[in-house]
Amino acid sequence: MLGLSLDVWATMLFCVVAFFGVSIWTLVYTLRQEERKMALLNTERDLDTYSPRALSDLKDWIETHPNPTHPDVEAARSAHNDCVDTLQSTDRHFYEWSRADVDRLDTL
Amino acid sequence: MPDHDVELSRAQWGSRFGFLMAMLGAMVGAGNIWRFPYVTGENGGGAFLLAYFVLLLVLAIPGLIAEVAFGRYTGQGVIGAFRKVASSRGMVGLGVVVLVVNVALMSYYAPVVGWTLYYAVHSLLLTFTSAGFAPEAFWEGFRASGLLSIGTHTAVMGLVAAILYLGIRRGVERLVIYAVPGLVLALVAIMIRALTLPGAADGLAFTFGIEWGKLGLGQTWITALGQVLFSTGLGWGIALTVGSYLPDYDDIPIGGGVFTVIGNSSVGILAAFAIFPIVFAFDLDPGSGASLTFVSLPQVFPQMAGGAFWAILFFVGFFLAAFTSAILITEVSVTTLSEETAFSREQTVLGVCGLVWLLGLASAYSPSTLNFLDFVFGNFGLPLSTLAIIGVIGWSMGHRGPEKLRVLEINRNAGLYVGSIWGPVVQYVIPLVMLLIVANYAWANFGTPEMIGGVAVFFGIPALGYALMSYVEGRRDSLSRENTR
Repeated sequence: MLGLSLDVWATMLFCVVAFFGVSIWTLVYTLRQEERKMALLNTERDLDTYSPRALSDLKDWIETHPNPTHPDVEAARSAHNDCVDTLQSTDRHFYEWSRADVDRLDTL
Repeated sequence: MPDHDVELSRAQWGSRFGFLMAMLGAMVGAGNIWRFPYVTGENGGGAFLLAYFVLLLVLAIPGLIAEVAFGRYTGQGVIGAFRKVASSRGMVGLGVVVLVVNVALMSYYAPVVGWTLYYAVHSLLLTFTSAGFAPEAFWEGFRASGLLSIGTHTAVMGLVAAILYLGIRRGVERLVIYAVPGLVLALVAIMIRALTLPGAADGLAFTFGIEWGKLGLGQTWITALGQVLFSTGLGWGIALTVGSYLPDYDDIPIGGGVFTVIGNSSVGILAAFAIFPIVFAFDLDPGSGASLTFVSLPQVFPQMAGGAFWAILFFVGFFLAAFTSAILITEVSVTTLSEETAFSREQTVLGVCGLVWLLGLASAYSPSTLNFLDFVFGNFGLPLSTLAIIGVIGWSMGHRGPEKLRVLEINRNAGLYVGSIWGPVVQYVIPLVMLLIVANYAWANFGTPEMIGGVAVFFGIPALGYALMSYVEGRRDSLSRENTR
């Protein structure tokens, strides 16, 4: 085994990090996120559903839609407003929202 | 409607872990174990893995995120999902394409799962380490016996039906949360043993040595593309179906995308670490595909200390890999048809499994039929299904369609933010790559019966689906109009 060339060792190291490492890390990361969500639901009774960037994208999509009464826009607006309401009515959030960011938000 | 009624109207995964294992169990199949390590070694080892990794990031992860999100967005099986966004009745027929391809795929995959079941049972009976065991005669005897092949095919479809009959949580989820970790543990144990064999280094050098020159060859990239798209099951309707049972508060990009794609590939690499050192330590032919698994490896186990134990771990693990895929492939049809017909889920399970069993008899009995169907549906049917699903997501969802899916579904409760670059990948890159792969297969096999069969599938099934759903949806609309009068 020690006689393996450097490129074989390099590839194996790449596989261990890029495949095994990423798989295990994402598994642990996503299961921990799930635990955090459940804990927040228990204490806050509600959960913010969008990160700052994602909520901004959602708002942009709603505002640029050519038909404001389309059912998709209604659904998107409702999702946006629910998230804003939750952020304004809870103290702890799942995503990294600052108090100043939350104060700047308005429902649509 | 009270909340509990809403929940009962459609099943959901009971846990995050259950969803993740269902995705992984569906995508990890026989190919990860007998094909991936060899393809890697033959196409430049480390150079191939680099190309493969890049394509996973650029194509497979965005594609699977799209498919899972589409499933959760619609909350339906394939035909219902297509109906929810399609602009015309006939376009719903693209859902029929996915359904037909899944049934056809399962009809020849079930006999292959039957082979793994036969070997798993014999590993438990200690057949491979018994005195006078002759691997080649054993394999040939099994393949020549129509009764045994049909018997194992029947047993597999019976087991699939039993699991699916129990439902999503009590059947599928309960199986995958044990089977998938069991498979991984079995491969890890074999890997540890394999790496300590004298001569194991040659196997590692074959698989992981780098031939940089191959990175410049078109064939390396085409092979990597094929491996990326086929091994991740992108666009087969499985991720859509699994996603349709995903609760609203769950994340999609990490679980449905990154973990599924990288985890699936990790099992292939684990198989390379576990099997190829054995292959080279015992001087076997690494490119012998199915016979490597069913003839060469059984030859090796009696020569290893504790061979019976390693044989059990390998063949039971191999069976679990193939069986969990079979469960989820069949679930695509069960979910769809139980929604589209008046039959209950239990009746649909029996009907679908019965149909697959019947269609699969030909492949179980005749290896040439199995090979023909594998070529036709593997190279033309599955890309067609991918094109149908990714095409609908990219082009049939209304104003800024993919963007709508991204802002409404993908980034909601997500553990990872997906940027707007994702849209063009789904809209342009994946469909173009699929067309390129199909054209390459057609060109490489021009004029052969397999190519003609493949082209017939590629154009015939969409035409059939279009005509069928134009009629069915039209009838459905007129019945609904009559009822409202």
